[in-house]
Amino acid sequence: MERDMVRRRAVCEAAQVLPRGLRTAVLSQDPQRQACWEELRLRAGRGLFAVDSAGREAPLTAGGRPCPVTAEDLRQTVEIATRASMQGAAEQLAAGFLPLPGGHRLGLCGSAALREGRVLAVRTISSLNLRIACPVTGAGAEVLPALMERGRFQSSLILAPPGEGKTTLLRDLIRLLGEAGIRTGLADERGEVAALRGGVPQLDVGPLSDIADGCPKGEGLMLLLRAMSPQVLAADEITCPADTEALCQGANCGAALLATAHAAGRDELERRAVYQPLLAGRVFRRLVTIRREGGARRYLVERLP
Amino acid sequence: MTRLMGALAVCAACGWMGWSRLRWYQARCAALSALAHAMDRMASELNACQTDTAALLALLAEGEDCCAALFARCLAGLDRLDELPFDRLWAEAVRAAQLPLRGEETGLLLRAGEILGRYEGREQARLLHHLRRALETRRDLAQEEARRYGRLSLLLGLSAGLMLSLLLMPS
Repeated sequence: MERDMVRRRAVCEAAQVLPRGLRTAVLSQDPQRQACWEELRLRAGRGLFAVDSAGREAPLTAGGRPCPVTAEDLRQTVEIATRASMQGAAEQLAAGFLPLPGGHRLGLCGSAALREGRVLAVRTISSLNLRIACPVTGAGAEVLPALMERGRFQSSLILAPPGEGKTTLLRDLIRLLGEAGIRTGLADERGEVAALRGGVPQLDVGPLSDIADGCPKGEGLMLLLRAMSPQVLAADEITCPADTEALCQGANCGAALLATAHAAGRDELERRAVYQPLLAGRVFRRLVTIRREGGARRYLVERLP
Repeated sequence: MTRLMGALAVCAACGWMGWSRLRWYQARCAALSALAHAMDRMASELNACQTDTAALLALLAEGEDCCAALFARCLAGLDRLDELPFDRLWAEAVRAAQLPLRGEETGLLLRAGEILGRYEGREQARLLHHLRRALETRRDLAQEEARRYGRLSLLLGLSAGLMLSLLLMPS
């Protein structure tokens, strides 16, 4: 019940980025449906759709008719999101997303303008994806004690397939570490962990976190090591050799590590070549595997030799 | 006595009309100058710092020239981006400012609303630079008009007033 209210509040907050007509259409929908939404999708010429937690997409209607969405609506939405300042959001727009107040996120696609093979800007927007953030705090409370040894945080790797809550757990652990007086440097390449906006985290990452937002993980981790003296270095989604190399360097500098990776468990992790340097170097001391059992998440903590 | 006072009033009224016309020419030059300067400032800020639109408007709203109210109004309008796109909020602010401009000059000013916040910073700066040059050209023309017709308007006004007074005064 409380979770439904939190989600509806999140929907209302996220909808502030929409033009008035579309916002009214969204907020006039059945509150019970709103409580299930995770995304709102706007498609020029095709309408407004809501995506629920099961990934099902359904069109929104107003007065029995589909809510119309025009190209001008999409342009105006981006103008609201950037507060009529494309110049400040150019890099993010080229990357295809805009962070919003409250940790929500506006993804966009359309006709791209390229320069030297790189997306310079999205010129004509054809679709928008408004991802509604509904952070869950408390996920890390049952896990953190198993990650500490003699009062020190042990380098830990969180494993799960996509969409199973790795980022949520990472965020909550960073928050709890901060509340325990442990300083964390977070390399938030895609802005999904802290959702920095105007320098302020829109999602709760605790009082003692320093965030390098929007830069490649390797460079972000090095920047944090040089400038912010972190006790723990954190990064989301280790996917390439540059990421693993940066983590190994971080481990050599004396910081504990906290990271996430796409893998269903230890077996899958050991099969992936990109993670071999981390396993061989014994960089991590704990593995946290997230599993769904009977609709609830379970966190299995494994000590590594 | 009454007729004399009436004649003086007619003179003064016609003189005031001429004076108002002179003042309008001068105000138009000042407005065009201020707007060209504003475009230049915005272009510099965008080139150097990619300053966001709200900060640009706030910077110009602090000025003491005749255009500060335009920028202040537009800054306040940013809270209504969910109702109207920025170019229309800008057009509203331009209309409300009632600057002493001719139609083509107002058209140039409206163009700024289609540039600000729409493109990458350097592109906006480039377009604002062109707009600045167009406004400066109009300012130079306005100054020439003021020089030629400003005093003439005042003299015509006073002359008309004097002639009317003479016609109305009994011989």
